[in-house]
Amino acid sequence: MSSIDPFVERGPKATALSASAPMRRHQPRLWSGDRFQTGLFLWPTCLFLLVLTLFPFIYSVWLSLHFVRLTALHRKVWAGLDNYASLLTDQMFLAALRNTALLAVSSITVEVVLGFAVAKVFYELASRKWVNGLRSAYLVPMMITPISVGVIANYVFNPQLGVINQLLGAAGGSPVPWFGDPVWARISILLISVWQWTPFVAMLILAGLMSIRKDILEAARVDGARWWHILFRIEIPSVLPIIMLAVILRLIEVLRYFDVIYITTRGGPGDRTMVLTLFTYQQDFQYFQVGTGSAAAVVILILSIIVTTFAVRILRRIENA
Amino acid sequence: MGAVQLVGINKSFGTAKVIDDVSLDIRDGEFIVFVGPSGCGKSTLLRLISGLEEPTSGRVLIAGQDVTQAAPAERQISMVFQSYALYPHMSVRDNIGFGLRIAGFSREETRTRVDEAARMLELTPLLDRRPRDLSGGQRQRVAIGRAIVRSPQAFLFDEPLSNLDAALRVQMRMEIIGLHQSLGRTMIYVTHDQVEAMTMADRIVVLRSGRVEQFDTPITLYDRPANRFVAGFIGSPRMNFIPVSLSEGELIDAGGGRIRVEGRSPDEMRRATVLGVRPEHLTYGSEGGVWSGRIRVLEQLGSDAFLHVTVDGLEAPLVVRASGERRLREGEVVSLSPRPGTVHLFDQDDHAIGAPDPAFRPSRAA
Repeated sequence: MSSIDPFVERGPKATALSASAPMRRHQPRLWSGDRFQTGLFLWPTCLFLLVLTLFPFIYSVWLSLHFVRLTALHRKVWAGLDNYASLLTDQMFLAALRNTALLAVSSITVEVVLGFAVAKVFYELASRKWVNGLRSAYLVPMMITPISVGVIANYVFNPQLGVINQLLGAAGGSPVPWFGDPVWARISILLISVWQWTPFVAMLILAGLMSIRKDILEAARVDGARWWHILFRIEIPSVLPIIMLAVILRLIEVLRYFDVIYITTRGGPGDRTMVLTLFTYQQDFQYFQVGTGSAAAVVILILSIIVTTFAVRILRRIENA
Repeated sequence: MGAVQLVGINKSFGTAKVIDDVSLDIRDGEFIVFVGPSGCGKSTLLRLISGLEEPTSGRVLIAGQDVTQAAPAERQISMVFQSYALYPHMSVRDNIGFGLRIAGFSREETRTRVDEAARMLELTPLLDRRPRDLSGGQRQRVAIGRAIVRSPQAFLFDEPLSNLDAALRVQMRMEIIGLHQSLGRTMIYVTHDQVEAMTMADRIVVLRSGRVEQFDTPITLYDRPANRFVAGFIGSPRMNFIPVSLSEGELIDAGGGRIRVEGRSPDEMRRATVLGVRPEHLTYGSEGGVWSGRIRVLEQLGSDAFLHVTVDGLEAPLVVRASGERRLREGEVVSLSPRPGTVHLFDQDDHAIGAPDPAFRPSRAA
């Protein structure tokens, strides 16, 4: 049988031949190879990261482990973790930590509740054409440079000339010492933050609401659901992952919150509106305590990393849903 | 109980009239199918019954009560959507039980009812899964489960099987028929598939451009279509239409074919402008028929062969259903004649003239 079928005889031989044949590999030339091209595209980014991100980070960690002044950077004394330990007993730092947390909790809560309400209004009015323009206009506070927001706030909240006190006066109320009062100063910062960031949260939630399929809402209506059932059992659960994302993005932003407070209250009165970034700035550039300032910066960084890790996880979950 | 009445329903979206003066009387427990080409308004009509759309004018009555202004929630109806429309963030159990929970049923009562529905639909092992972990057929079952737990007055189905593959579609069709038999509730079912319509319905509503063309039993639609549209829409392959005129007591087509039509009055013959004959009502042979032509295309299905025969003088080829045919080949010449008593006549307004067979009696008056 096998002698009739030529392929059976020649099969193994042919395989052996091709296997033993030398593989002629094309040697890539240095200037045309994929590897070179990849490198060419990558090095600017790598250099950028190295010089502007990695080096400052390592340098500040290094500085945080020393007693050192900005005016005499060459005279460093090894401190180990002493700078971190002193932070934990520094009343100003602890106040900054508390205030940052307080600002985060209060402003994000208000922004989410208000943002959801605003998103819902835009969602219900989405079929009307003029709403599109309004929606874009609503995003303006988010686009203004934080420094400008601070300057605007200075005018708006000015006790004598500010528009808010003018309006309060016109309505028969007594003027409020906005940035000068321990309680009102915090409320002012909260109001500014809410004004600036609610649009961002609202737009995220609006996108979430828009992505709920119409037929699901119709199915719920046929199932007997009233508006409150739809709100609490369909809409809110559906946008919950988006709300989580908004909360985390805002947390990162609150940790970096600096410009507005620097322009308006400077952390005062006393330490009532002191936040982590402002504390770090003052240590580094007002008191020249670079070691302590760097330690505070590292703490901010660690907090950011923790928050970002959660953010990535939640983003993944949204992707998979 | 679950009777549904539509009285003079009109619906416009802007200037576009989608439903045009529709009145229907659906009896309790009937299985009604709305069928028609895309854009005929069949889904809109269903949504008007469900309350998801409000009519521009007219009234909707369910179980004798005027529900025209009532919200969907107040109509005691269930609806199964083409896209299933399951709540993605809820488990299968919560999806099915959603309507019961918000209607104020206790946790135990909901659980009992959901378990019962799940058993009926063989969903018990899937109760804790999310919709995204289910196949298309399973999702459809959950949607049906969600509809039946609330024991509504009537079930509305909006093209529920069109997202399923062919085999699953046949199976689900049987299950829905079974469900109708065991529940005995009114079901209104929208489809563009005439096979679904013919096999499932007690009565079919044929719609075109928002108007009811005919509302009758499947067999009546087939045997006695009210007009040329229904005649062409029901039956596959579709009915052959041949323009004719009267000459010396016989109908003559453009190719000179003389067709003797029995049992029709001279007046009926005079009004006829188009003659219709179904592919399965044409007999074929080698000679002696009314028409003679060459087989241009032969579609062989095994059980049947469809012959597309080009006849000189006729615009469209005549289609013949040849049961179990094996010998004929493309290019051969065949001779065709209609079986006696199967010819439909239509006037210049496309209305049917009389019945094809005088002995034919409609099974139920519409």
